[in-house]
Amino acid sequence: MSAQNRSVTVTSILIKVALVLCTGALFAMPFAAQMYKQISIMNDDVTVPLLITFYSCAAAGFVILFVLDRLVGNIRKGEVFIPQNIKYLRILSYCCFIIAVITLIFARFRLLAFIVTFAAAFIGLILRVIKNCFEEAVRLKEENEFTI
Amino acid sequence: MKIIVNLDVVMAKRKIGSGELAEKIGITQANLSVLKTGKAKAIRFSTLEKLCDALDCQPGDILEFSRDD
Repeated sequence: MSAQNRSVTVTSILIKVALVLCTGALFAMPFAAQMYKQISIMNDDVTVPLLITFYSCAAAGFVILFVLDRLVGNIRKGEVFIPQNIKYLRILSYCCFIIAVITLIFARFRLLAFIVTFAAAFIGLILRVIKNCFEEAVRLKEENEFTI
Repeated sequence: MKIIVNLDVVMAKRKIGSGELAEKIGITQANLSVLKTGKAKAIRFSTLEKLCDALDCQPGDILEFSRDD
């Protein structure tokens, strides 16, 4: 197995591990929210907003993991600069922006959520730039393939 | 505006088949077909040179500019 194939395999395994961890977090979150309520020094109860925020973000998170898995699958097949991957990168960036908006709403209750908002928006922005690069790469590849 | 490839016309005039021409200029029949059907995005000078040499013609015989308004 070449170093490149090994790297793709490791990425694929990491995505699957993240999928398992996220699934576990779905079940653990109500208990974690209760624990947070007990240890929180703030007086207000944010259990319900916290759970709504978490489960909304989890939906986007699962879409991200599913799309990442498909993207890595395409890379494994050697199909890197194809229009389908541009679509996947677009979905990934939209999901990051959705998470940013959801956590921005939650930041009304806990200001620290702004960190997640900022991180998600920033990653979404980076993904958009990568998507734009892929678009140009697909165009160049097509031009190269049709140069006789 | 577009460039029209008249390769099939020149080939017919010279009575040369795709297989023979592809072999003469050293490209695959699939690539020659891409060129003939006008799907090609660009043509290398080296390919054009070989085509002109094999078909004994000028680049202008193979390529034509059309201003479709």
